[in-house]
Amino acid sequence: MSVILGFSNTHNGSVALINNGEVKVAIQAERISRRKRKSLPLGKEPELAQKCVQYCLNASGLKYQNIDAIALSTPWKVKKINNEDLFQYIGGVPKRYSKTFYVPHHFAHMEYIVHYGGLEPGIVLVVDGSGTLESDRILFNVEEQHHHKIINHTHFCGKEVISAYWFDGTKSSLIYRFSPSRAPVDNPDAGSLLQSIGHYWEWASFYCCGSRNEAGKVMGLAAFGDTDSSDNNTILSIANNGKLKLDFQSIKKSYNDPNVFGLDLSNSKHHQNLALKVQLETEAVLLKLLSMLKENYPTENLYLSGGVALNVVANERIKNSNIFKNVILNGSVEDNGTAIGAGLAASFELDSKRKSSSITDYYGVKYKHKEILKAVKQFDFKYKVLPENEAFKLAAEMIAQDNILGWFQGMSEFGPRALGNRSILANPVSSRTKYMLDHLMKCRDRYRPYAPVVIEESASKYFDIDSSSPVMMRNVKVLDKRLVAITHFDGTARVQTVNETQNKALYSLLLEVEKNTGFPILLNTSFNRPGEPIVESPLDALESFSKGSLDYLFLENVLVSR
Amino acid sequence: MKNNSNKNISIPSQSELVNLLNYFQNNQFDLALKTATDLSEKFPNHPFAWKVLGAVFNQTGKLDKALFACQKAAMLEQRKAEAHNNLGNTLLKLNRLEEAEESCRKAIALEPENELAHNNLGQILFRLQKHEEAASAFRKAISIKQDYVQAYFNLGNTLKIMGKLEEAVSIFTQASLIDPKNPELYVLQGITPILLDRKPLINRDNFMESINNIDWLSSEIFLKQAFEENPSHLTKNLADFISHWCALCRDLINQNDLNMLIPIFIKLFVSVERNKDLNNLIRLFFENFNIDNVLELVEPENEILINLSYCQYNFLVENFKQAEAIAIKNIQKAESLIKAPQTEDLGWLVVRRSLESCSQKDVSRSALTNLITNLVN
Repeated sequence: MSVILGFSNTHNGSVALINNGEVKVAIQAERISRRKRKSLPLGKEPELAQKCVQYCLNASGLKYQNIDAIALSTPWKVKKINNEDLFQYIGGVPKRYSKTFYVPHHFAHMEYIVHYGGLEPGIVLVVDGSGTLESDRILFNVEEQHHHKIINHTHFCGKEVISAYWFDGTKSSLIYRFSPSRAPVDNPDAGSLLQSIGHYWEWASFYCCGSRNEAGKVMGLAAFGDTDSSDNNTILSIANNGKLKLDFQSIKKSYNDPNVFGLDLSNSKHHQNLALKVQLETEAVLLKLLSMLKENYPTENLYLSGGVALNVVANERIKNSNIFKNVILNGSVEDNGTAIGAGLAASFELDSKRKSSSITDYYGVKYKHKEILKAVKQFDFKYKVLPENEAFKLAAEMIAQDNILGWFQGMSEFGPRALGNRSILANPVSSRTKYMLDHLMKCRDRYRPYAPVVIEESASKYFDIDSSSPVMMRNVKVLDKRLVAITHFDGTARVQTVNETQNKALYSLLLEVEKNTGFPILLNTSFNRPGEPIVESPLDALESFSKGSLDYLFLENVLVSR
Repeated sequence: MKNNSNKNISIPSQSELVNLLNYFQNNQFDLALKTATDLSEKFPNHPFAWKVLGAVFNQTGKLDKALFACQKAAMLEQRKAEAHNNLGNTLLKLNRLEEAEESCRKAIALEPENELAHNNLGQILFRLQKHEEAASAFRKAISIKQDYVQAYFNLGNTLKIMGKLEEAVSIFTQASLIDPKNPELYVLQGITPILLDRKPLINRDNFMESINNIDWLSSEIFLKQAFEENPSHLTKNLADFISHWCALCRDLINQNDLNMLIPIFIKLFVSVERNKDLNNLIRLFFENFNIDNVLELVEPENEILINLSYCQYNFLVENFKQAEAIAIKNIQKAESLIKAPQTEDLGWLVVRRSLESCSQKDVSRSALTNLITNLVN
């Protein structure tokens, strides 16, 4: 039995609380600080770290004295911290503190995802921008075991960018590592980027969108691109020995029209074609690597983690390749999930036991009715407390009338996807919906798609989907042409399926929506305004509603209107 | 093994000292701490145990205790540079910089060729923002010990802060050649001034010339070239870019030169959103020029952009009614732009930015609903 705090000291900082091998609570620093992708560097900004820790402790009914261990994971240079400073940083002193665990970054990504696969043996692939510095390996007290057949491309001053592990159901061993040199002498023309799939996307994000963290936009843009059969200028490739190559000379040769002003690229063929190239090359490299790994480690199960695993189009391609029967994904595969992964790694070190969980990302707080009412009363809005069933009925009617709603229910989501608890919901069959969201509520570039949520048992009627997708990690063909607001340019959608057990409120609402629109489907996008993180508390939701243009807001069963 | 017969002797035995040293050198800090504590109690006037205690406490981050031990050691070895240097190093970690400097200078006075003391002094001066003096201290350390890579590293970082990027690159290169298998240094091999720090656009040859010649296209090429060198500097480079163009526009406003001003003003307005410099420029523009006079000077296809900027101006000066009235007209006019493929992007830009200038949500919603109705029908 152990209570562990996991920290993701990354540019997408987060804290998680693991109790007896189970994830109890997790929160991203951005949700507390209200600054998108807020970093959480160890020892700095203690006030924010303490708020995150207190959020976890309060939600789980635990106190500082109950903490047995703290697990830290970072892709930056590892800094050791003594207990005194660490306790000052978290804002309290544990009573029977065991130790501080230092967990390698990719290892934490791996530990996160294996928690959700029913402890089935399989290959775990971690792909992101970059993780642990090779020169820091000696500082970790949670160590990776190397498999005797490991394919190892590690430079002594490298940084891990791809790792693969064999998970035997209990323990893991490293079977592949690509950790390229960071020295400019080995990377002429690369600028500050590495030979990394994640950095390829980072560059494409800068090139197409004028900023670093817009890989999702690039993925959306790719649907508009065309392939050029005469283009034999390969930028990203992987050799038969497993060595990745990102050819920056080719980039410089062919791409010199960056979208420096971040303009809408809905009509820019140059950028659309580039986005498609990045997407296709990524898929090709991942498939080749996975085939190599599968050959050495036959299995039906693949676990995917790391930021690149948020690429649902690539995930779908992997799934459809049938290299693996099962592809296991969860919503927090990017850096926020390493707080959970680090905590789980420490839990395994302490208790030598491993537990598994069903796929979920609802790890935040459910706010009480009185907290909601207290927040509502701080604003000059009309409000009405409705019986629960009445709320679903009324919301469904409003949606059928093309209203766009803020929907705040239950526990908040941990990862980047709003899964119906901190969501903006709208009518997916209305031709007006996307326009209203693009230009008034979300202020998005026109080429970006919106995602649907559908009740699980009806999903295959409307989408080409053969399994559930509870955290919006599948990208499949839309079968019904009437679903105009959620169908991307290439006829696909990033589907979330929901059943009664996963989210009763959302499921009930969808049933009511079906009565009104004929479709058990909603357009579901994150509840935030442009440039802001997803709302966390009732107060955040009301602030967002106040500044934005949503038609109505449901805070649980409290209807707020202007 | 303890030798009981040593109890009344004023110095520890050789084996005790060797054991202590071994524990410390093998990172067995718990054993080193216990042994050093025992020895310092038994032989309080012998400096070695205090010295090791200082080092162990330093290693384990217990700086107050490290300070106490280093002070003891320095007191017992007043003529030893090493003791004063260790004390200086601990004071540096505690951020007691003036005292740290005094200790290091004492060490140097006792032993002028002590490279460690010069390196420490350099670090203290660096923290005191005395970069020139810090660089001199590091250079001195290097002159004493020519393969002292840490001093090279510190000197390189100091030169970088001082903006002497070429020199910093040269120092880093020398360091990486001395210790090529050191990851910290290897990673600097082949580094260039551009990677070391952002070269502001203003420092690029001909960038300011392109601004002064009112040559937007050339200035944009400079911005894109800077992107190629290091994409992660784009945000800062773009801010520079906008700031320089806004400054030029302000000059043109002061010179009342509308003919030169309008094309650049439009370029800036279309390219940039939610920017403080641009917002200030929009205010200044319409405080100095009448909208009707401006409209007379622009090409018909640009009239909507001038109207859009005027809409934004009214919003910025909190003339919300006027802003909304113009916004609604703009949104209506945008319909035909949206319907033509070559002006679709412009049309939507007008819509989005007009909507942003509506303070009443029902007004913006109604304007957009009308537009959508027309478009989807």
